[in-house]
Amino acid sequence: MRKKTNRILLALAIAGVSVLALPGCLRDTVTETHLYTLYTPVFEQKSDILAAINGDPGQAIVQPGQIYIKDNFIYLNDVNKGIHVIDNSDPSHPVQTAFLKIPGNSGIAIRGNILYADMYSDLLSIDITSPSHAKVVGHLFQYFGYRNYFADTSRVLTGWITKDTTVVTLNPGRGLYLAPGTPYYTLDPAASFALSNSVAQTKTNTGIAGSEAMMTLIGDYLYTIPDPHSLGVIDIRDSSRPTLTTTISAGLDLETIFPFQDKLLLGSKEGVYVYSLANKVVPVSVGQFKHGTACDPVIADEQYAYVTLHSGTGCGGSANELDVLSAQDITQSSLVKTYPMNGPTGLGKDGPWLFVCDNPVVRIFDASDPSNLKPLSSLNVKNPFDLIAINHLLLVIGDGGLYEYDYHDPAHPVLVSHLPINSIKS
Amino acid sequence: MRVSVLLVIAGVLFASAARGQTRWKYRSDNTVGVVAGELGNFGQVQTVNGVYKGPWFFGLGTGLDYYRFRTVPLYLSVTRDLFGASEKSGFFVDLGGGITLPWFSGYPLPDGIVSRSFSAGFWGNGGLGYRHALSDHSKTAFLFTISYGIKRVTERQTSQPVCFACMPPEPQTTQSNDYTYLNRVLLFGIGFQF
Repeated sequence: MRKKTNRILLALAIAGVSVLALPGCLRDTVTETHLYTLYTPVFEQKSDILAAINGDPGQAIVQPGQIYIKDNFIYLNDVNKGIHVIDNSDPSHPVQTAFLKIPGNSGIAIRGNILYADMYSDLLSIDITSPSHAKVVGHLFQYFGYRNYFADTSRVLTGWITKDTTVVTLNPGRGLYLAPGTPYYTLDPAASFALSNSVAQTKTNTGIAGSEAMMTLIGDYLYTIPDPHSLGVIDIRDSSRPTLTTTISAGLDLETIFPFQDKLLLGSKEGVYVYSLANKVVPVSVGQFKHGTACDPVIADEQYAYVTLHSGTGCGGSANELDVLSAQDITQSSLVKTYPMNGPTGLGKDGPWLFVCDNPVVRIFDASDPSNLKPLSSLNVKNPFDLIAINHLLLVIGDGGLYEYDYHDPAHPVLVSHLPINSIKS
Repeated sequence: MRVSVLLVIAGVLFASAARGQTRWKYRSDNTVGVVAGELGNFGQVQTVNGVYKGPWFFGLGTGLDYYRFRTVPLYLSVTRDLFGASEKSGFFVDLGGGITLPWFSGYPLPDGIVSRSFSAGFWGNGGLGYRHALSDHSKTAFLFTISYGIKRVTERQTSQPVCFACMPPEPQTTQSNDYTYLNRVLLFGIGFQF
């Protein structure tokens, strides 16, 4: 019996020593197969690019971006490529009448017959009296400074040549995860990186933008976000000479602009900043509503402001929700209620109806009582990004293109037309 | 490939063992223990159920293995008693091989990653054990095992690419990284055989 016990003790001792001592000699092997994308820029002379913005025939939509409407026309940004001009006189049959080839474009604002658009770091004013014979009439170069891709300002980046390369790495970083798909660039040594966007909403002879706008027109001034922390004011009384009048440090991680009464609501990743336009040239901060880190377009009516927060894709945070804020005194706004969402982005409101892009659907609510939103219906739109709802016509931008719905009966909206990507309707 | 080889070996051993024997008996080996490796010590539970005759035991094993990622191994196990120790106290060697299936959720997503998916991989171990019979010629016994093991798990992480003008909707071309984790561990278990 004692012999057996000794054996057991011996076995346990060997096992124990082995477990305690030997693992230090063991090494796991982690093999990473990483796909790198090499980007090589393609440049053209800026003078050639400006001359070529003359209203090409309609082109297929590749990657729909921001949306803007004025009169019977829809202006649809094709990310970094230009602007599609779509005649929407008959919503059941939208016609792509022209394409403004503007490299680096992401935003739109229109007053009268002048369209303001960004071209990477430049702001252009374009006469669209006849969209098919558009002409650049003015510019403000190097305004969106953080979108400078290269030191040579006489050239414009018009595209990228991409090449995928697979690299196998053994024991990468020992537990440090690398984000796949990380791009590598072959740029000029003096290159710097930046980005921006734009769109606007005002009354009178201006158009209406979606909620993701980063540019808005009020009176004689164009308000933009030239970099993620600044608010810029551009005097556009003379459209041939847009002039920067003011740039102020307005907040952190600014994303969107929404005009509200005599104020501007700036949506940022940290919250909503409120600026008074009592002095239109020098906006003054009058309030702020903070929330958790997330991307957040904001809209408002006379009583309430609506903010969507979504996480992911560089937005940070983990919130996916719709926040309703009191807006009777927007400078003292407070949270009324939070509604959970899947991944909300753009939103809009028309009368009592609230529309929210909440991938993979667009949700329609009865917002008569904002503290008790009543869901009415949802529309299946893949990755809806932004929308405009006006006069019972809902325009939705998604991965699949431009969708138009009639919502005379919001509980049963009807698809009126669909302008798909990679095709032309003329 | 390695799984196939192990299956063939197990089959040959099983056939050769069965040829000279007349009666197989059921046996169940159940252990809990520690998996120790570069990442530290993790828990493990195993149960192997099969038949034995003489010094040979063939069984099907499964359990839970928490090293690096929680997985469920499914494997064939072959055990041979040493020094004529069948149904007595004594040492034995064992060899096992099969697959291990990921079984988990809720692992955090690293920055920039929108999804993580895991695939089954090879699982194998071989080592030495001690069987302490509660009485002579009884198949009921305490078990002490130590073995060297390999656990291979593959992972695919997908992400949205870094964008130039990051205002949505940026190109949503999903790209991926593939990781292969070849874990080398020591397994120490104690348990019960009946």
